[in-house]
Amino acid sequence: MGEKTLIKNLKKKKEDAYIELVNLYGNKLLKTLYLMIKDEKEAEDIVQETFIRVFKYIDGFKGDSSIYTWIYRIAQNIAKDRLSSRMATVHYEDMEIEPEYVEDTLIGKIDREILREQLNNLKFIYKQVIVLFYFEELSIKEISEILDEKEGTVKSKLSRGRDLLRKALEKGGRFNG
Amino acid sequence: MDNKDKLGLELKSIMDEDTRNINLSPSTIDKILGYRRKRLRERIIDFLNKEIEIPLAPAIIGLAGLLIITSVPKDIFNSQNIKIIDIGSSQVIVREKEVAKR
Repeated sequence: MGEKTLIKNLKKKKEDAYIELVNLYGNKLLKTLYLMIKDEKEAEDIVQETFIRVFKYIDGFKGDSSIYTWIYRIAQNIAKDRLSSRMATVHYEDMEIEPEYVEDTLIGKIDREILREQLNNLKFIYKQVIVLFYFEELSIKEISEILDEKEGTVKSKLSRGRDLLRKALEKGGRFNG
Repeated sequence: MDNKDKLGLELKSIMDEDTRNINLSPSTIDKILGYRRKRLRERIIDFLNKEIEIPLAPAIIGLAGLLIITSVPKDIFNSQNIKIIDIGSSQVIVREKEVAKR
């Protein structure tokens, strides 16, 4: 079933379409949320709430983005509401936006365990874009649509997150990210 | 921005590894889909709100046929002759029908 047909059938409230949507994106969304919040139960609750909202508001989906992006946007909003305490507020308007990606200077062997640990310790706002960019392989434009932020802001968060990871790897220890 | 550089590939690999065994539980899938299973009340509302497409030409022909059937007297083709004979306060109705000739 193509995406257009899937959306059409979802709007017609066809049971098969609901099942297909959950099969297509359920696990993917769960994995992404798990990587961001590191709490499987919480991630599963968010996925559940997300799909219930998707089914409820599918008639309002106009197709401006892919359904996948739309689902993630809903999930992000739910996650934001539920986990507001975990998210730090940073004013990106004041942050210097790097015009281009800073060359990766990380040379040599990457200590995988240190990187895993630092990734888990990274602040939510950085981890969020890193997961969407590297794990979901979404474009900057798609991430900016999901997070409802400017592309420059997303690039800044990504660069900052990478810098924090790189510095921690260079030092081989903890960082204050 | 490239997500296929060394750090990017390493991050992707770690994240794949960390989520290898993360899957939606059957109970969560049931809850999600159970929400959508329609209740009787919802089905009735859906039925009442359903748009019914009726082809115009057959509908007009059908309606015209129905009107003709209901408006034309049933006994229009009957050739029976009725006579009413008044006898005092009583009436005798005599129906004459053609009898098939042998």
